[in-house]
Amino acid sequence: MNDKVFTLGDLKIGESGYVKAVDADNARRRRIVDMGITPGTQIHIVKAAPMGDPLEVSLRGYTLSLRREDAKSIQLLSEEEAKVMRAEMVTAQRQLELEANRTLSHAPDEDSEHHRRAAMLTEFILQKQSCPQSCENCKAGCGLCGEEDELSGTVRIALVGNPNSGKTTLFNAMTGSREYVGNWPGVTVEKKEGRIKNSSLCTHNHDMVLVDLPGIYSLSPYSMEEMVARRYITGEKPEAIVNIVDGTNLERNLYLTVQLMELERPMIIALNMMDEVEKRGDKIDFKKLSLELGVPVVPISARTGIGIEELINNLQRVIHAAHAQYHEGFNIEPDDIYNGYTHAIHHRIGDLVDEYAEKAGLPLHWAEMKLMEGDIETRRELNLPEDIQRQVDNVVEEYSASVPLGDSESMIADARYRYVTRVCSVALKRGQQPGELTSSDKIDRVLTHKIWALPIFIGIMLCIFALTFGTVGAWLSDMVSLFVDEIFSPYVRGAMETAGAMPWLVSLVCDGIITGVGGVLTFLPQIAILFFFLSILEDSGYMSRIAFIMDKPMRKFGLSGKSFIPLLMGFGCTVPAAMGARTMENDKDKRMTILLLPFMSCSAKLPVYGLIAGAFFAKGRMMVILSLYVLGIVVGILSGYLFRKTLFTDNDAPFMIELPAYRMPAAKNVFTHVWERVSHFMEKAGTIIFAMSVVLWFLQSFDLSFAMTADPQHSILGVIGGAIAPVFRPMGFGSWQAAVALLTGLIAKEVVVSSLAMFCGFSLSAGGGAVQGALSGIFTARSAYAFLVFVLLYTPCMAAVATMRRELNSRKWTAFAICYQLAAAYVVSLAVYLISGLFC
Amino acid sequence: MSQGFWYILAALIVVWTGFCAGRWYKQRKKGSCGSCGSCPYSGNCHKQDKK
Repeated sequence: MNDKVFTLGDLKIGESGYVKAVDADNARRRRIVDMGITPGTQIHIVKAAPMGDPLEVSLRGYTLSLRREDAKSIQLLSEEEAKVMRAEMVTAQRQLELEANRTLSHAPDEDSEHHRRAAMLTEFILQKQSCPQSCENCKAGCGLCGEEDELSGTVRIALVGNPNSGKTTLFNAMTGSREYVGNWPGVTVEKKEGRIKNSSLCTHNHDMVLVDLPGIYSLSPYSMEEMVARRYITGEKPEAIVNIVDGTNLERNLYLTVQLMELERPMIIALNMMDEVEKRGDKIDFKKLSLELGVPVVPISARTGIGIEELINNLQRVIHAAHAQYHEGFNIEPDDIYNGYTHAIHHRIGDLVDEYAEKAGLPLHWAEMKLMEGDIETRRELNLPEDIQRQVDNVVEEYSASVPLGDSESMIADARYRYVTRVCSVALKRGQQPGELTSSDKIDRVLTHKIWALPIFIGIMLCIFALTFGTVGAWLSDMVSLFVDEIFSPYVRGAMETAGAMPWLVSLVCDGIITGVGGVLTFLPQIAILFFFLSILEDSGYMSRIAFIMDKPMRKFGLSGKSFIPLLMGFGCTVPAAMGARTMENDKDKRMTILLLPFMSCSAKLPVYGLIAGAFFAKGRMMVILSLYVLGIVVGILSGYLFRKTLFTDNDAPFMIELPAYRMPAAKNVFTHVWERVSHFMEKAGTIIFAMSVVLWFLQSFDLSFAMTADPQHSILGVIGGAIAPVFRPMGFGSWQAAVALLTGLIAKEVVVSSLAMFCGFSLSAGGGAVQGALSGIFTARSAYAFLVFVLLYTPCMAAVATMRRELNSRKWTAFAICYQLAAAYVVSLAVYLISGLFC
Repeated sequence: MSQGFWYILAALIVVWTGFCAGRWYKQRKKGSCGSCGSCPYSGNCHKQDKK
C-alpha cells in the first residue's frame, strides 16, 4: 500500500485534484481555507512563475497564486475518492441533522420576510430611475427617496470588501477625496473617513460619513486589516455596511459577505465591476441574488469609463439602499447558511454564552460561530469563566468529531462556501466557457512567461530609467534649472539691488532661498516622469505580477514576494512604504521588510544623484544613477540574507495573492497620482526645504560671535562640519561641506543638494562642468561616487525613522535599524572608495 | 523702496521659517513628513489615526 500523501504540490501544470484537507498551522490553514480551499473543492494548476514557484491555481471560478510549499500542505483526492468522502460526510451528518432539526429553537425560514424585503428593495432601486415628482430641496432630483426625510442625523456607512474590489474608488467618487487607488491588493491599510459632499448626490437630509475599511478576505483574527475591519463593525456599529463585491469574482467575494451577515448589521451589497462582468458575457440576476442572501443588491461600476452620469446614478442607488437600511435596519440571522446540525450546535453554544456576548457588545450569532471556529480574539473579548469555556470547548470538540475531517474551522468555511455556491448557481450565469482564455490570460502568457517574464520586467525598468534620467527627464530638468539660475535668480537679484535692499537680504533671498529651493525644484520633472510610469504599472495590474514573478528569488533572501510592493513603494517614499508593510500577516516578514526599506533609494535622494552624477560622470550619468539603485537593492538583498541566517530564522508566512485583471490605466487616475506626488514635492520645497535653506544660510554666513563672515570655513556651519569631517576622511570626502550636507540630509534628503549648492556657491544651470569645478574642492570622481553610496545607504530622514519606530513597535529594533544602516553606509562607501582606487 | 519694506520681508521670511520648522518638528514625532495636505499616501499616514 502506498502511504504517500498526494498533495497539490505534486500536481503538474494542467492537472486537477480535489481537496481532502489542509495540513498546516492555524494561521496558515485559516488563510488557505478562507480562500476557498475547503474539502471537496476542485483545484486546477494553471501555471507556475518563471522560476517554478509560486503556482497559479484556479478554483471556484477564480485564480489564486500560492507557493509550492503551501501547495504541499493541501492534501488531495482523486475525483472518485472525493465522491466517496463527500458521501461519507453526508451520511455521518444526516442522522445528527435529523435529530438537530427536531430540537431547533426556531424554524429556519423565520427570516424569509427579510429575504423578500431585500429583493423588493433591489427591484425598486433598479426600476426607479426617474423622478416622478421632484423633491423641492433635492439637488439630485432623482425622486427615489419619495418623501422628505424627517429623521436627520449622521449616518455612518462602512465600506467593506475584498482587496482590490474598488472600495477606495467608490469612496473617492462619493466623497470627492483623492485617496490612493491602485490595481493591486492591500492599498488601504487603515480606515479612512469622508463625508459625502458631491452636490449631485441626494443624502436625504443626512450627514453621511463613509468609512473606507482595509480590503479583507475574511474576518479571521490573523491579520491587522481584518482586525481593523471587524473591530470597527462590532465596536463602532456603523448604521449601515456597504459590502463591495467584485462581480467578476462573485463566489470568493460572497464568502466575506456571509461573514458580514453574521455581524447582524444592516447591510447592502454594491456589486461592482459590472462593466467587466458584461464584457465577459456573464449575467447576474440581482433580484435572485438579493432574495437568496436577504440583502439588497445594487449593481455599480465604480471605476467605469461609462460616464459621470451613469456613475452618479450608481452611487445614488448605493445611497438610497444604504439610507433605506438606515431607517429599516433589517438584517437576517443567517441561519440557512449552515446545515441543521451546525445550526443546532451554534444554538447550544449560544445558550452558554448569551449573556457574555451581550456584555461584550458582540452579536450573538457572530460570537457563536467564532467560538466554533476557535477564534482567539472572540474568546478574549467574551472573557468566559473557566467552566463555561470548558463546556464550549466540549461542544466544539463534539462538532469537530462529527465528520471524518475533524476540523471545525474547515467545516464552517466549507459550509459557508457551499451556501455561496448554492446562491451563485441561482443568480449567476457564466458566459465564458471553462478553459476559455480572457484578455488578461492572453497578456499573462507573455508577461509571466517562463522565459520572457524576467527579461521583460528588466526591460520595462530600464526603459523607465532611461526616460526618467536620460533623455526626456534630463532635458526637462535642464530647462527648469536654466529658468531658475539664468532668468529668475538674476532678475530677483537685480530688482532687489535696484530697489535698495540690504546686501545681506539679497544674499539671503538669492544665495540662500532661491539657490536652495530652486536647486531642489530642478529635479521635479524627473520625479513626475518616474511616478507617471509607476502609476501606469500599478493601474494596469502589472505590479501584482511583479510580486508573483519575484517571490522565489526574494524568498532566497528571506523575503516574501509580498515584500516587493512595499519595497517598490520605498523607491517613492519610505514613510508610506513602511506602513504598507502592515499588509503582511507575518511579523518576521514585516520586520525584515521595514529594516530593508531604507536601502531602496527614495525619490528624495534623486536630486542628490542627479547633481553629483551630472557633474562628475556627465557621460555615464544614467548608468551611475542606475548603479546606485541596483547597489541599494543588492545591499538590501544581502542584508536580508544575513538577517534570515541570524535574526529571523522562523518559517515563512503563506504567500497568497490574486493577480488582478489587466486594465487600461485611467488617464485621470495616472495624472492624479503624478500631480499628487509633484504637489507633495513642491509643498516640501516651499516649507521644510525653504526653512532649511534659511537656517543653513544663517549658519554659513555668520561666525560663532554672530558676525557676518565671507569665509564659510569660519562660519558656525564650518566649525560644526569641521568637527565631524574627519570621520568621512577615509572615504575621500572629509570636508566640512560634505559632512554638514549629510547631517542636513537627516531632515530631508533633498536638502543635501541645497546645502552643497549654498556651500560651494554654484549655479545648477551652469552645466556639469561648472558644478564639477565648484565641487572639485571637496570631491574627486571616486569620492563623489563614495559620497553618493553613503547618501544611498545611510539613515533615512527623521520622518521615516519615526514611522519605522512606530511600525516596528520597538525602540530596540529602531536603534538597531539606525546603527545597521549607518554601519552599512560606512562600510560599503569605504569599500567602494578603496576598491575603485585599485583601478583609477 | 524704504528700508522698512525690506525689514518686513526679512521678518516674514523668519516667521515662515519658524512656522515650517515648528510644523516639521511636531509632525516628525508622528512619523509624518509634514506635508500631509498633498500627500498621495495620506490614507496610509498617521494623521488618520486620530479619527
